[in-house]
Amino acid sequence: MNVFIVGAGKVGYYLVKTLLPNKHRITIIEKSQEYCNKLAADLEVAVLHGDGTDINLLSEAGTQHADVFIAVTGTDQDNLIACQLAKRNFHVKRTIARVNNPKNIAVFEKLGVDIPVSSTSTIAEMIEKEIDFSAVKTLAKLKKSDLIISEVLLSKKSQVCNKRIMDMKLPKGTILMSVIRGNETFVPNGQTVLQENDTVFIICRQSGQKAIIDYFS
Amino acid sequence: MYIIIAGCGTVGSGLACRLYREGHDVAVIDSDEASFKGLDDDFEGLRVVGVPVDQDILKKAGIDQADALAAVTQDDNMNIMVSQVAKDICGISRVVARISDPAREDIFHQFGLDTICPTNLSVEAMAAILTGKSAAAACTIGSNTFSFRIEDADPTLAGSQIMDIRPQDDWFIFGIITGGRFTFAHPYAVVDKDSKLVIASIMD
Repeated sequence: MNVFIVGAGKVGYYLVKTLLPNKHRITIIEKSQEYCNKLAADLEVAVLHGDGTDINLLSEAGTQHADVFIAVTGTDQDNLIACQLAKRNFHVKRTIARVNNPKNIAVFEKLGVDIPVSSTSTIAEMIEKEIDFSAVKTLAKLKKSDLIISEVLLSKKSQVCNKRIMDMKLPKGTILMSVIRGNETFVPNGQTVLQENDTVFIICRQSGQKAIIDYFS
Repeated sequence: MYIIIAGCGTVGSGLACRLYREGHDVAVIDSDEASFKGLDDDFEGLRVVGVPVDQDILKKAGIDQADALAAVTQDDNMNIMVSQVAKDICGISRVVARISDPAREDIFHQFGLDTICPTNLSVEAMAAILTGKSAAAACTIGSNTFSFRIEDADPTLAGSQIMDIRPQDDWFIFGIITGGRFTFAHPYAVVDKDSKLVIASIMD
């Protein structure tokens, strides 16, 4: 794939390093001469010195041929504008932007960035997951929706133990995807009776997770 | 009207003070508190310290009640982002962004933002003075700025009608002054050898 990256700071540098072995064709645009030199000396990629929001530079670099355009500078407005130009002016299909201020995630989505990625909120969520002592863990958030997948370990005290799923009053929009019991994994149905130490995987709305935690623990 | 000015440099502070004197409610946002020194002593509008692309900062500046917003920070990309947030997310219909880079201005103008490019305006105005084709007037219609200048008619045009003169993309013959009298340049108007032409052109 033809990959364009704007910004060769810490994130850009490691991104290039990660993508290189996958045989992608990578072009990187960086404002700072110093970062350009470092990258060109360390890795075998095309490095362009300049502003990733400069239309002439983007055009000379061949942005119109990019399959993916990724902006990972430390400045939100530069990442947004670079992706908007790539999308609107050069018709790149997939744009990805680093969001430095997590408050801007929704703004980026609304203003046409295909995939906004916020390292700040990702790190915060991962840490939150690790310090979460309750039996409910958030495994994944589904892209562009408020659906989340949670993992729940049932304790003896849980009110759902020894109950058939069809008899439970589950919060609306909740689906039990699978159950791990001992070494066995199965897809539950209405007749399934949950037991102590079952691990249950649940898909539900983010807004409903609190109700799930209350119900299962 | 309630107007928010993002960026309190020379243009931002000047704009804020002028609108305030005209009786508007004005809020100014700048990430550097020291920049508010540029405001007049009698300016009593709201001063908000913070990054204007931050929606919480925009709320503090009263974006929910605002009628209009001008984005005039030093950073083109910041101005573009602020005006898109104001327009597409906060629903403010009257938004203008200053974009210094002409190429960038051109593109975002095409994408539907109202923009002002000080570079283009200065280039046009200076070229007009240097070549002696001083603009007699400039006016803004919609989001474009037009200039009107008065030029002696090219002697080879004497006797021709306006419809015979080849039209150009960037200028338009607006009127003819003959013997001190102005007429609109309708297709059948005739240019005399001592006529002056009033030419309209797009500055920005």
